[in-house]
Amino acid sequence: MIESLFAWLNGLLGEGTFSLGDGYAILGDYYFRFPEKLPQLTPLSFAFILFVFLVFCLARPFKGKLRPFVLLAADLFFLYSFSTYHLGSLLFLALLGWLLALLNQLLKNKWALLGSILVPVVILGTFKFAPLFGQSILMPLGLSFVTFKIISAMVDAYKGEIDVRNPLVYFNYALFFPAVTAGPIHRYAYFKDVLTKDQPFDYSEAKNGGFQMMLGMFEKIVFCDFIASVVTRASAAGMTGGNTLLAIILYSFQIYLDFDAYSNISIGCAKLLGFSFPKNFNTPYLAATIKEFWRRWHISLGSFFRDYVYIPLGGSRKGKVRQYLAILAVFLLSGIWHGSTMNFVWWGLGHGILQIIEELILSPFRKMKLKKPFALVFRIFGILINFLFVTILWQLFKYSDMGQLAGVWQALRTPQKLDFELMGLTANEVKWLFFILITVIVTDILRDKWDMVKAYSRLFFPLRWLGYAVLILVFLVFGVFGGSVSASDFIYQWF
Amino acid sequence: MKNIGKSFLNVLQILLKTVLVVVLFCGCFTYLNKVFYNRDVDRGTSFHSLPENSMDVLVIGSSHAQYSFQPGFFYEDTGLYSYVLGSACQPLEVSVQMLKEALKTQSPKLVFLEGYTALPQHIDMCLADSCYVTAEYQMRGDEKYKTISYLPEEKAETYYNDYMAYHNDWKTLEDWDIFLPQKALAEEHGVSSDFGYVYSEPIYPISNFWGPRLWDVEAGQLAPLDEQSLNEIYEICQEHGIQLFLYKTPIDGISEEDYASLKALWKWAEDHSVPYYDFLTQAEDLGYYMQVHSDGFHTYVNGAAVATDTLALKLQEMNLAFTHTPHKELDDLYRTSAQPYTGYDVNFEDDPLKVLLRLRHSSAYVFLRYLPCSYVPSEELRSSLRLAGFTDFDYNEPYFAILHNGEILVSGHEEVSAEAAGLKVSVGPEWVRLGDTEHYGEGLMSLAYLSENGIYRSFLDVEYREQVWKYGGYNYETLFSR
Repeated sequence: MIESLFAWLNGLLGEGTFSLGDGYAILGDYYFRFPEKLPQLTPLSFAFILFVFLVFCLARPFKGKLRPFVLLAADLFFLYSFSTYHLGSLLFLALLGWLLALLNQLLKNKWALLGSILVPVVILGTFKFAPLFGQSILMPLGLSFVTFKIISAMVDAYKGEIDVRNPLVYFNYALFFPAVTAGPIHRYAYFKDVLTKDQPFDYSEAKNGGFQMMLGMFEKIVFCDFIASVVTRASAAGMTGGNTLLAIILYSFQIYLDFDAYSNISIGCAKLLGFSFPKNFNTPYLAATIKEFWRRWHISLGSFFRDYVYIPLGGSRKGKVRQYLAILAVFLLSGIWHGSTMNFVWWGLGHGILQIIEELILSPFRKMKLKKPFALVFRIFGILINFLFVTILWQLFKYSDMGQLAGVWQALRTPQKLDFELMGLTANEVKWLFFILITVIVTDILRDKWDMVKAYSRLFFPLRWLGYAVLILVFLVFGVFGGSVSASDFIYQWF
Repeated sequence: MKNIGKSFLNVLQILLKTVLVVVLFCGCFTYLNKVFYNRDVDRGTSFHSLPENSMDVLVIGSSHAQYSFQPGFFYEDTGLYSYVLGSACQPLEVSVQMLKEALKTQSPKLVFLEGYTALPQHIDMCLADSCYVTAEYQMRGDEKYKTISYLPEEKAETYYNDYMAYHNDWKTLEDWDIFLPQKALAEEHGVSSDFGYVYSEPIYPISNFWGPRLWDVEAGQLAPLDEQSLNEIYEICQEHGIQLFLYKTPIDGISEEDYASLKALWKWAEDHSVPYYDFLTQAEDLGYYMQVHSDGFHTYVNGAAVATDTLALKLQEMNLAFTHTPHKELDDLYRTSAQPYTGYDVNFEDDPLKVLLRLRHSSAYVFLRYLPCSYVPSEELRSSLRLAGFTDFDYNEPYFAILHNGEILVSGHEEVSAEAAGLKVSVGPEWVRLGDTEHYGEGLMSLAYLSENGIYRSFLDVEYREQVWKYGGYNYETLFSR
């Protein structure tokens, strides 16, 4: 069937547009690109910074009706910079989503809603699970996140909470470039409100947005990519148990810094353009339980599952068994969403099961009030235990091949010596690694209590500027770029 | 009105701060450009440390130039100062920039241009962009940028800017190395006595092919860019009153297409009245043997001796008038430049014949001792020794010899003695005596080496019973005494 579909498409679009290789369905070069040298606006590129600055200058002075046009043009151009394929696919999906949301707004029928939800889910599933059937089709950029936004708008339209009749607002919402590739998953009502109403320009918000965006880039290029390089080296074959253990722990930091950095860039960029998205990460490794962890980790995804899966399935209102089943369903879906291989299913279920066990163990003690020092000791203990479990589960996330995972376990059983030389780390690199880890832990503890960006903006200005200079110098020296190295992609970019 | 004024101030504030951030960024960037630079002082810094207008001769070309021309030998032959400005697979357009860069501080009378990269079929053998690494630290300003502009765009980015290429050096720098200015590092290093000559393998084997440039060229023709570069070099030489001379060292298994291209190069030379020398056709007459003098591509030190001597002879034929200005420091450096290679050869070369041949160019004494035993040296070895000048060698009888500068001072079937480095030296069945010191090696055949000033000595004991002479001498035992 796929063969005949491809044959038909090739007849329509030109021979070679779609082809079936050895177990692969390869999308050909059927796209128009002009100018050819247009750089991809990846969030770590200089071109992206210029682009954001340009959009900021163009979009902020316009009020009311003109602004959505400018922003939509920016969204389309952003996607076009990656390829007409990505642009076309997401435009098509947004159009479909808009029509279905409109339909639900008009019909308000439960079955129509379920049918509508199935459409983007099937599309997403086709791309995600094609490899299971020996096919691999290039996933449109940010498809998962756009799908979630589309579903969210459909449900909200069905509930009568939003009005989706204005396609301009809808397309802006679905394709908003700061959040299109990897979230955060923002909501239609708030987005429409900001987009269509006159927003007085808030200099300090814009400044903080720009600073947050830069901090995100700093976090990725200076901290995350260095840790990623150490993880790669420490995970190589023939490492000692100590090195493997280090790789396991550092991977937790890597994935956190990677996604947090992306979220900071995204939220900062949106803030520059007048949109205040809530935090997507709130110092997750300071959580003392799995439940708390998911309130702090990828918050927009957690909220989405809570609002559109957990609560509709009954949440905590229909007895413990239903609640536990709902939890398992949420985490199973979350696992499947992250990837098509079984390791993601186990990873999701692992979190679900741990959360249920937590509920069973902790619920009798929930009303107990401990004195401060004891409470603190228990909390620290909880944080460490929780970090341990999350870290172990990240290994399921990292390795799709169970054989590799067994290799990690085997390596852990070899003598537990930490050998930096074996990893190819110089003395300076070891010092820098520990400096990064301490900085991340300390700033996370501070971030847990204060809004660091705001606090920094209130510093005495010579100190603030000195800080900027130090950050620039550190970025220039320790950043992973130049020579034969370049920053790696964001992990979540292609989910 | 009040609002407009406030908005205007806001915009002004944003613009001002944006400018300030940009200035801060550029300031940091500029500063770091001075902190991070190529700290490899082997070559570029050495050339830039030369006294101005001191070089009489420049040799420009690919790694074949770096290996084939030994400035120390050239100095011994002619008394002139020379420097090799080469890099692996250096295309002619890079040689143009190299020449321009050199002429900023030097005024040579002669340029030997090596023509390997004019052979299209061999370009794909080249390792990478190492010539750009060289360019990067040998060149400054416009010449450097032009050279880098020949690279594919994505690769060029990393060479434009020292900081971009080297800021990752923070990983290996020692605490205070980072604040050592480039100039101080160059001064500290001074002029290297290799003068651009390369003894061992290239130090930057980067495994990226830098892409086809000349592959579409028809055999027997020069590539347009090569011809343009040759013309440019010719014009620069004309303008500066420099004699240009082309040459190509022998390479193993040259294809017909390549040889046709080489002929096109000679044709160009003839058309422009530029003298040239084709080692490929003259090799046999020169006593240049591919397996003895080179690895098939690059000349060994003995091959460099043949090539350098030949070029020195060609220079004499040209009757060029040099305004050579003697420079004591350079004289010392050139005088000693060949010595370390000889010592190195004696200790690490695994073929006695090669050692003997290489030692021909050394201001040193060599002692040979051979004692017969049940093992019969192969015909190959016997003919090698005859080639080396030991015509009366008979494997059934003991053999002793003392050589100086490759010339046999004395040889025979019984103990031989001579005056060497101010010492009375002798070599016999059980000893090599240097003055009052007596040495005896374990093997039945020994090679001993004594430098001209007597301070560098090395003894090689050859266990030919283990067939080392036949198979390459991997069982040498070396006794060192200084």
